[in-house]
Amino acid sequence: MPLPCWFKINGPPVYQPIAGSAGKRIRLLFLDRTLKAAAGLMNEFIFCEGYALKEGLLQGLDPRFKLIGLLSLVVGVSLLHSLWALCGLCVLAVMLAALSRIEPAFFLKRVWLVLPLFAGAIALPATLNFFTPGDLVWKIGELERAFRIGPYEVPKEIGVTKQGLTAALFLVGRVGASLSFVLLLTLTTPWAGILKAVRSFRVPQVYVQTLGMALRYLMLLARIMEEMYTAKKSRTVKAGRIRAEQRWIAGQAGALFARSLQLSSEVHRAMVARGYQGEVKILIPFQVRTRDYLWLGLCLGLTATLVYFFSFQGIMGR
Amino acid sequence: MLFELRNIEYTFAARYPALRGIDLKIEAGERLVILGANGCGKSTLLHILAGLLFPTAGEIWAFGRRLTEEAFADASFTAFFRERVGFLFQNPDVQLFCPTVLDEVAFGPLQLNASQEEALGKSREVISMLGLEKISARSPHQLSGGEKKRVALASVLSLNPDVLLLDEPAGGLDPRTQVWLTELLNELHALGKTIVTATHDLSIVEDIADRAVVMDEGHAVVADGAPATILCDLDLLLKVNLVHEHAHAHEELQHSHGHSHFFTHRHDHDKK
Repeated sequence: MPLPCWFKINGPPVYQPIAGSAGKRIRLLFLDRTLKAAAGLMNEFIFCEGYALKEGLLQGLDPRFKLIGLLSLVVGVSLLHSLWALCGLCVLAVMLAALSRIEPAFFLKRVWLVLPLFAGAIALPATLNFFTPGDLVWKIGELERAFRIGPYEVPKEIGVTKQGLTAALFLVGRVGASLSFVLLLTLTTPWAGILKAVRSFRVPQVYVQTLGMALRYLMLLARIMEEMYTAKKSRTVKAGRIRAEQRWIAGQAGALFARSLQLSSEVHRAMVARGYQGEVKILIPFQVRTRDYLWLGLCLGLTATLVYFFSFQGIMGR
Repeated sequence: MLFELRNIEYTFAARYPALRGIDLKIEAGERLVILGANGCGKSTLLHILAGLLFPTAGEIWAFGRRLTEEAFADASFTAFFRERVGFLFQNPDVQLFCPTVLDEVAFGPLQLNASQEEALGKSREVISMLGLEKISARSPHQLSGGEKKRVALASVLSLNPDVLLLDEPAGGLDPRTQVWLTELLNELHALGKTIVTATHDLSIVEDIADRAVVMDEGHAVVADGAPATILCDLDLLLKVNLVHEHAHAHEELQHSHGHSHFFTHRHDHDKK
């Protein structure tokens, strides 16, 4: 095979800085960020699956009973009308996490760092007196006169009301408590277990199977994407123009889409080769023990008691 | 006769030919290898044998019935065929679509109406046979390439098929796992299984087959015979692009001629 003559030219054996470009920093922000995000997705998934494989209180329960128990508590959370009861449930969730060998600090960070703050941001306007009229607890400013905007009356004095603050705290508390219980379910149960539990409640197979396969191939496509970006990074020595980068990303998105289409047809053939005839049958090796009934009884009992005493219609909620 | 292919043609997208005039007979209990360079149509031929693709012309018969889309519309024939013919895909990621290894291995028996207990029992036995116990609860995306290949094989073996169609089974395997695979295939053959392997890896041919079918880059079968005879026919191997000419050294002598590295340097030359 004749090689081009310029193949004979080899580079210097020792690094020699090029005048003008030496010391200049390369910023491959979008490549690095995308690579980090793809790797992060897989690491996060593997890291969280580690909790599901530990031997703890919730990991030892039948996923179906765990699912009903925790969902009953989530329903209870949405009906409660007492901040103290909501706080109590949040504390209960942290205790359950600790008994399931999930570090409380990690659990609290996961629950309270992002979503309730996001919920808090949404609830913030509701604390103001022109959305929730009531007793002013903090005066922000004063207008020349009161006026109306559509259904809202803007009072002369603008501030935070006690009623608005309570409503916002309820929203944040409910989101936090609900998220805690959902997180307990997802952290202590492998995805396969959750999907099978959902399937055993007669949720149509097509949804469960699609969800399971989507998750499985999301990981594969994330890996392919990571490889494509790494390949580009290995041949990139300077940041490209934004337009060129955008064109490259669009091209890769298209390639990934084409690859996922091809993959889906091959996966279908692989399913057919093993006897798939339109309806998937899956293994449901669940084993119900006394502790599962005990757990379910406790969850349902606690939810009923809390709703009885602390819901809007309940004894303490009136 | 287990499979009979009569003048099979297959064309992708009505433009790109993948198979041309294939006539082939496969007896029960045979160990057959389909040899050919990349893109010659080996995988397509295996897909046709597995009843996953249907020829654009010609006929394929298996188990005394012609394989057509209509034949597979019959649920009873489909169950009969799928239970008897197992297919190992070249890319294990295609084959591993279940959430865990155990689910993957149990998938086949469950689709073919095994009870939960039966499917679980068979799967656990196959998992133990292939030494996959430690990874049975893991998700396929967390496995290494070799582990994926073993799980894919387990997912086929749990059906206990009479015919195994293997597409590049040794591709990407380390030498130790390759030896393990060869031994496993020989044990399965000793039990009376028919094993059809598509590969371009000449180094495993004599270990896994008693008959070799060679396809050329024109997508046709150009030779059919004993592996030893085929592997010694250097002109044929050169013609179908399975070996190539390249330069190499014998002590001080540097020269080039067609050879492969599976039985390298079995040739005479004078030191000039």
